This record gives sequence, C-alpha cells and structure tokens, in this order.
Amino acid sequence: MASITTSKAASVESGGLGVDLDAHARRIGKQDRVATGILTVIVAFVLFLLGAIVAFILVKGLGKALAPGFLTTAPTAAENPGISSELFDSFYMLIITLLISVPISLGAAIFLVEYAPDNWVTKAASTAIETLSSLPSIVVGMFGSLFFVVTLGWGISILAGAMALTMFNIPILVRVIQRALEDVPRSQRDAGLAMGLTRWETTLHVLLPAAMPAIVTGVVISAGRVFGEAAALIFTSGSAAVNINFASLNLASPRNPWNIFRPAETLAVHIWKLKMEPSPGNDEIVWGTAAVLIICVLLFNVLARVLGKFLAKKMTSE
Amino acid sequence: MRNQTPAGTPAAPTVTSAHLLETNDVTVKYNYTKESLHPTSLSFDKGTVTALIGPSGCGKSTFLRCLNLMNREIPKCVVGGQIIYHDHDINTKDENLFELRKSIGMVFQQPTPFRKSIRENILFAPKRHGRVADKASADELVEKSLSQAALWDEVKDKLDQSALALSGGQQQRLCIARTLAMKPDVVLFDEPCSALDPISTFAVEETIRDIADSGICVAIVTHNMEQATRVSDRTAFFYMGDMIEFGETRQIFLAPKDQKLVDYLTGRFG
Repeated sequence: MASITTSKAASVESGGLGVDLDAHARRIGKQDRVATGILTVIVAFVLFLLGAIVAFILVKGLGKALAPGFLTTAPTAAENPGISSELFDSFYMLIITLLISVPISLGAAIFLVEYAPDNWVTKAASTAIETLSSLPSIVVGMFGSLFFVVTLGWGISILAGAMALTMFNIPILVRVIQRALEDVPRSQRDAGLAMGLTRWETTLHVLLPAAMPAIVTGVVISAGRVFGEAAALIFTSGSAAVNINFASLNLASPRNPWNIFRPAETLAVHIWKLKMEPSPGNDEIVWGTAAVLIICVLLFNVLARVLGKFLAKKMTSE
Repeated sequence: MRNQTPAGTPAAPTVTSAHLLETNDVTVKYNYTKESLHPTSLSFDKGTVTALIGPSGCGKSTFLRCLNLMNREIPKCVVGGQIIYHDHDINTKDENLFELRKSIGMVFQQPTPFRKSIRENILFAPKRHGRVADKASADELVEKSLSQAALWDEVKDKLDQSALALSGGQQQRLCIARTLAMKPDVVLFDEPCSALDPISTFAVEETIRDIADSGICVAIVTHNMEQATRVSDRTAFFYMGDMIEFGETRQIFLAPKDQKLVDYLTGRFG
C-alpha cells in the first residue's frame, strides 16, 4: 500500500520495471472519478426524464382529473362528459385479464422450473414464451380480432380484450414467476423432498409460499403495464364509449357493467379515440384521462413494493 | 414392514443383511458417464453413528445422498450397485421414494426451515402423510420432537412465530426436530454444523449422540475431524471418489492403516 502512495523512490524499489506507480495511481483515481461522474449524469437524466413526463402530464391534466364529477360522470353525458365508464372498464378488464393470465402463467412457470426435462421441447417452449413477449401489441390485437372476435364469435367484447391482454401479459408473468421460483434456495426443495413429500407437495407448500412476495410484486407490476395497454384492445374490446348502467340486473344487457360479452373502452383507448376525433373540449378530457391513467400506474408500482415488502416481512418475522 | 410390496407390483429382490442399512458396490455417475463415486461397500447399524470424512470433493456427500436416493433428484445422475435397507434392495426403479424418505431422514448443510411457523415446520410433513389425527397428538408430537432436538425450552413460548426468526443453530436443531417428527430409523446428516458457531455445533453434536442412543442409525458427513472423533462410533475415510478405510473411530484416528489416511490425518492434504 505504502509503496503505491509514496514518492518515485517506490517505483525504483518496485523491481526497476520503469513503472511510475504514483502516476498510475493518479491516473486510475481520475478514471474512477470521471466514470462515477458520467454514470451520475446518466441516472440524473433518466430521473429528470421520468419526472418531466409525469410533471408535464399532471400539470396539464390534474385540474381536469380533479374537477368535480369527472371521475363519476358517464362519457356519453351531453354536458361535462366524464370517464366513469372508462375507469370502471379499465379495472374490470384488468381483473378479468389477471384471472385468466395468472393461473396459466403460474402453471407454465412451475412446469418450466420444476418439471421440464432439459431437452429441446423445453427450450422451444421457453423461446416461444420469450418471442411472445416481443410481439407488437397491435399484432396481438389483430390476431385477437380475427380469432376471438370473429372465429370464436365473441364479438367486440371485454372477454376478447382480456384474452388479447392475456397473450400480452403471459410472457411477462411467466418470466417473473420463473425467476421468483428459481430464487428460492435449492436446499428448500431438497428439504421437502427429503421428508418424503412429492414434487407437487414441495412446490405447492414450500416453494410457492417462499416465492410469494416476489410473485405478488411481479403480478402487480405487470398489472400496471396491462392497465395502460391500448393497441391490443382497439380491435378486440372496441373504442366506443359505453354508457354503463350500474342499476342493470340483466347480465346480457350491453349496459350491464359485469357482462363480459359487451364492448368496453379503457382509459388508454379513450385517450387514443379522443385524439383521433378532435372536437372542442376533447383535449382537456384527454389530459385529464392521461393524468388519471398515470396516477393509477404509479399507484400500481407503489402498491407492488409495499405489498412485496409486507409479505416478505410477514413471512420472515411474524 | 418394508418387505411388504403393494399387490400388483413386482417384489423387489430380498437380500439378507445383518445390518439395518448396507451398500454393496454403490457407484455414482454424474452426466451418465463421470464416475464420481467408485464402488463403495459400507454398513450402518441401529444406535450407532457412522462418520464419513475426507477432503472436499472426495465423494462423501455424494455417497450419503445415495442412502435416501436423493441423487435421483439430480438430472443425468446414475446410482449403481445395491443399497440394502431392511433386507431389501432400494436401488430399484420400483422403489417408492416417498415411502422410503419417511423412514430415512436427512439434515442438510445449510439450515432449511420452511417459511412457516415453528409448529408448522414440525407438523407439515406428518400432516401431509396423514399421521396427525387431532390437536392433542399434534401438540404432543411438536413437544416431543423439539425436546429430542434440545430446542423445546428455547421455543415453547413462540411456537407460532416464524421459524426464520430463529438463530442459525436453532434453525438447524428445528430441522433435526422436523426430521425426528417423521419417526425415522435412519437419519443422514450432511455437514450439519459447517454453517454454525461453536456453541451451536456443540448442541447439535449432543443431539446427534442422543438420537443414536435412542436406537436410531445415524450417518454424518463432516470435514471436521474433531467432530468425527466426538460423535461417531465408526468412521469411513473417502478420497478421490474411493472409500479408502472403514473401521472403529478410535482405530481410524489412532491406528490408521492406509497411507493416504495417515497423510490426511497429519494434515499433508485436505
């Protein structure tokens, strides 16, 4: 140590290699400072970008978003239309999507981590799932409109939209759950098997509880992505504002909120739609909707962190 | 009991053995071809502790993991030879691994408590196997198992707290208690103390002796030679995938016969 920080005499003593240790130390010290500086600037830029986008949208839209009645008035209202249907449809569509995609992804991830033999079929399955994640969502929407809407005859409906979103969501979820399961120490699985439990019992009662905090976090984050998706929905669940009647008891009615075979318009699609059909007052609604959407997505991310931490804490030191 | 095979399945060959557990020329190949354990024949008896010692990578853990067929969980791993347990070769395709592992327990190097309460860690497997009839018998099993592992006094007031809140040594004793709750007649220890401090190590060694004294057959892999002399009755020395020497622990340490064992004991390698 000392020989590096002291004077040139040290470099002579260091075997006469002609290396100036002092200059070398100064050089690498400088490189270190420059690298740290550049990385700090990059991170600051990313933070600034995010902050600027959020701030811009909030400044433009928060006024409208918080305006009385905006969240509770139907979009079809003649005066001061709101986004009550869009808000409900976004959450309803999200719930239906998660109900379909979480079990499928869970099964696929468990199979890939615990059961799949190390062969070409498994590799092909993993590649297929990865490829699915990079399919453009508009293409997924096209497929959905051909297959779910036309071929299966579901029509433009919440169910068709939820299925399109499922295809979009499955690869993300499988990846997240796979990683969560792989992060459980191998010894936990061995311990279960060594007690005469079957692989299934070990997975269900040992691995899944241990991986649950990470899985929940992943599901909520993916929910944020699904919540803001528009392209996959335009052709599947439609872009027509629906005037939902919460008093309706007829499940087959296109105005019944719970009818999964009725068309629906989510917040993200609503933004697209209004921008496509400019008319006075639309711009204000677009910014208001954008503000609501971005607040929801931010809330999903916060919720994911809080929930994950809470579960992890609950399981480790109850 | 182990000789009873369910109707319809071909009876596994019965082999008469003077020992509770015995291996005949057991080999282990990883990746189908790489023989990591050369033919090894050892025997284990009720109420005795057998230590498996040797330098890292000598095959001692690999051998231990044959005894409850844990090596079957590793893809492309092949176990050859006979493993005779209760006069019955268990190294066959028809062997019911899940039945086998109820009576041959295993404790691992790292403590592996499940993310459950202390009580549930004990009761989880017995419940899954349908052995817990009611709350009274459950409580009895929890107390008895934890007492056997010398943990009862420390945790009796917090049975419903998470097992992960325990110290490393307590976690390891919980894993031992959990294994004993299955009422095994063989318990395998794979370097159970290597992650523990000296005081916890001492407590675990005491427990191991007690388990053997209660009539259970114990096999323990250790790289700690003092530990082998403290807890074991017999010792087997492994080197480079070969079982070199097997005998009374006193003889192994005081009068080793093989030169490799002499070198190992005097610290020339390892």
